[in-house]
Amino acid sequence: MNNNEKRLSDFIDSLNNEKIPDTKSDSEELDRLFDVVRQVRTLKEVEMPDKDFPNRIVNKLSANKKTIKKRKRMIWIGGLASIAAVLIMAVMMKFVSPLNSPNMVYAMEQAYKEIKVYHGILEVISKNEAGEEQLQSKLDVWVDKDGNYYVETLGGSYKGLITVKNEDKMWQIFDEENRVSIFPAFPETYKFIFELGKEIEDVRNAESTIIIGDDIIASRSSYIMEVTPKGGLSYKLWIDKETNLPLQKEGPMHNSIGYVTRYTEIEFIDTIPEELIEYNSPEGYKEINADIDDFLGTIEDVIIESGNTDMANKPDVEVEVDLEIERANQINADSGSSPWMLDPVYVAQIFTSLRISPEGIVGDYPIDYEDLVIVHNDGINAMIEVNSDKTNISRVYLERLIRQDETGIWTVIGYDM
Amino acid sequence: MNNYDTRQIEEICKNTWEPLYRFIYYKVQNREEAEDITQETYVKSLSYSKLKDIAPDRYIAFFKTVALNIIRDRWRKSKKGLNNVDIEAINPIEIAVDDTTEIANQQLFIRNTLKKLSDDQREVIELRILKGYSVSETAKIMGKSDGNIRVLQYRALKKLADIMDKYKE
Repeated sequence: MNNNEKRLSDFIDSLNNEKIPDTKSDSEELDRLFDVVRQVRTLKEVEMPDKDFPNRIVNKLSANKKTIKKRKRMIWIGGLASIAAVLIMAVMMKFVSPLNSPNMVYAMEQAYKEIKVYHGILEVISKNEAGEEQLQSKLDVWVDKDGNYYVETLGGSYKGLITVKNEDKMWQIFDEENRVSIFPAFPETYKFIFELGKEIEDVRNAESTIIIGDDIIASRSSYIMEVTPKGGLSYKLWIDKETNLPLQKEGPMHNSIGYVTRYTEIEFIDTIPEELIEYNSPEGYKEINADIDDFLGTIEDVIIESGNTDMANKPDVEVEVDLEIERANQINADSGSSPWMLDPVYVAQIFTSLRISPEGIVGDYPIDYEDLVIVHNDGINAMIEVNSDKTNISRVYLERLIRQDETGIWTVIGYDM
Repeated sequence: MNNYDTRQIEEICKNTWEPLYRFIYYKVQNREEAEDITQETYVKSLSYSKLKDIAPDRYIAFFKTVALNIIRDRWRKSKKGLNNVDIEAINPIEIAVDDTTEIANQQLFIRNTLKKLSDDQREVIELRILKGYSVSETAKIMGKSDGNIRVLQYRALKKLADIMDKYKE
């Protein structure tokens, strides 16, 4: 069997699995046969997306609209000098950069699409201002794209802790305590640190990305990308030149400490071994049906806490929150309505506007979207500064109370006067 | 992006996503890519400054043209790494209107060409492409080895391509 026969067969398999096929080829004959396969397939019924698909489109379009609005504003504030500087930088980057970052982001997305399961050894390292590194944790991770994973702490604090999630449940095995805590699989509040899919999604949704150089990490030749999230601090991502996938992430310094997460080994396979994600009650272990609040996020908590120094400030006025209402709002947002609740700035705008007009808003909001500036956003907590003389609220504090990922709604938990 | 509010975006999507998705799926023949391109089509189309000059009943035709350009652009990128879609270069006047007849004709043409294949060749195409069986499953059904199935399907598709080319001449 020659290579083209295998390529054609793989192409048919991809289409049968409703996945994007690999069409890179330098054979005209193979290209022609790919086309013939597609034509034959037109005799089949169209495979429709799930019923939530139109809502996802609307959410994406609404999110894009807001991003563009913010970008326009940033350039305007900077004035002509900034525009000129941006243009000069853009021209320079064209000559200096080995590739431009939009292409890199696209390449990362495409590379990730090809993966079924990855298995890697992940190190979490703290770094001080002098550049001295200390290993905090070493994890053995197995992840698939259906949300199943197995994460075992091989070294550092919580050594021996195993966290697993399959379709039905999530559990943590505490080896030293002979204890298993079992959690409901939903709502999923935990994603282990440096999960490739989430990293690439963050890059795609970032305010800006730029390739700033290259480096060798874990003996792999990599590009270094600087990523500036919307309303957050910039961080660096090392991207493997061969696989186009992230290898290392270095977050910003907080209180003179920064964290580096790095895959020292990674392999791509077809499935997570069944024995790792199948729940079997370990003999002699005590099983506890635990509440999600008992979940141990280990090293991730440390890192998130270190990035939350600004949030240590308590608001002057705390806002009482009804979690039942918030849960209902989250369900509404999940079904595509009220997508504005996914944007902390909009939520803050409505909150401050309603403080001025508690009976309801008729016409334009008294507080403009442009009057609000994100001063902190780590994905879970956010602080919005209010620059308007129409209100005496100076700062709004928000939190993702129900779900802590990009699909989670924001709730106002307090404000400063 | 134009000044569409969320309600208007919802309205446009609600009225157009299904025929647009079907059109794209017809071209790419897999759900993952069809979903990607459908989303990209809306992002590009709704930022097109002259969209407001197009009558709403012509939106779908315009979206299909944008989608077609994205598909071509992706194909070019996979071959040579060429440029992005130039949305401003798309002329709304020249866009295709109805493709139902074209699809029906195309399907009839494919059914006729399939009849020109040998029994084995036709069976392997039916099992692998139309019924979606894996190589191993097909091999089992046809009593052949996996390797034989790959060779057989390659030759069958090559013959089908030759017959199609001849018809088109």
